[in-house]
Amino acid sequence: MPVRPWNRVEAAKALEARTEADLANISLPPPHEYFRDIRIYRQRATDGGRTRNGVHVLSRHSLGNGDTQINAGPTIFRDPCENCIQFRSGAQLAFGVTLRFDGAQSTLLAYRFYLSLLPASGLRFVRIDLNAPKETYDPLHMPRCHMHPGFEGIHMPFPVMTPIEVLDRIVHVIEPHFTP
Amino acid sequence: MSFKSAPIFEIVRLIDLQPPGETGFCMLVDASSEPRLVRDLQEELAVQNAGSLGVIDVRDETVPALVEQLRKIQNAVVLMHGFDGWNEGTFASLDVNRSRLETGSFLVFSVDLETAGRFLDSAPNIRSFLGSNIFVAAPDPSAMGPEEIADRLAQLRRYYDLSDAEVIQRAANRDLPSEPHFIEWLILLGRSELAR
Repeated sequence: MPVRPWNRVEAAKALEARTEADLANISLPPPHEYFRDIRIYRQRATDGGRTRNGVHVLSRHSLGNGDTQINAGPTIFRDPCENCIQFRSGAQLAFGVTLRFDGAQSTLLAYRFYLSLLPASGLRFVRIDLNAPKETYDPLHMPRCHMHPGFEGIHMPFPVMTPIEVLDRIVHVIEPHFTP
Repeated sequence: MSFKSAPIFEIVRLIDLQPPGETGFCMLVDASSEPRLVRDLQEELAVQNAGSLGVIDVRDETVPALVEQLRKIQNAVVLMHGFDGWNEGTFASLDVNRSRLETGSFLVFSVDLETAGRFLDSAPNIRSFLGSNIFVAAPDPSAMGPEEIADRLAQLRRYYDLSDAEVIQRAANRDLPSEPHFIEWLILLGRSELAR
């Protein structure tokens, strides 16, 4: 039976084109409103018992041109992390989201979510990144939106989602898997 | 007289936690920025899905007329302002009519410091309704201050062993790595235009 020709580089480029198209369809409210959305999402996760600490770990920095950074926890994760989002399992989460504002709506420039897990979890961490736009890069080895399953060097393609969708997956789907 | 300070987010949390149909009472001691206060309250109420905001200027209202307005109003939260024109007798009359304030809405009395003192002294029963719900509206504490920005920049410099100048130069040369940390670095430096 003939094997259909397969070009992994072209396939990675095609996947990247789909990611970029999905990203272009994501439109978020102005940064200060989106910050509030994230904040109440976080508060409700704590109210519902999924996380242990409040919203004081969130902060933001907006520039005159509207570009905005929204963070929870430190920029560079370090264990132990007092100002990370704390889970009852002992897992800790830090994230950063970069938005660009055009005067009406925000677009996603980049994000990073770093979920640190306990040694007994079998995985040291899970990281989900949306890299900043770049003219030339290698979509096969580092797709723009990817997950690190406990290894810095592995970049598994990951569907691009809004930051709150990623947060929701981590809080309600990924982290519970590691709760003893 | 000193009051607790709380950002609007916390005040709306209080409103959101009020059992439905139960009247809530809160005093905000901050009349200097009323339009901004109303806008911030409206936005935060919408985000927290805590109900719509009605606003009543009580300056020229009698107590019976105000009570009647409150009875008819449909909003879940009602902010009243303009109490600075009221005298002690008007506050005392409102106090006598306190049970008629229990309309099921969350009532927010927006006052300046001097008026807060007169209001609370002249309306002791409403004061007990308010309990500890007397706040100075504080600025949103979420904005990164210079110390936090400096600390985050230091984390980045240490981790990547690069200086701010090197990052700026690489961004200008369109040679900046695409990891999310680098665009955050530019934002913290106020140079995100280099990423356009």
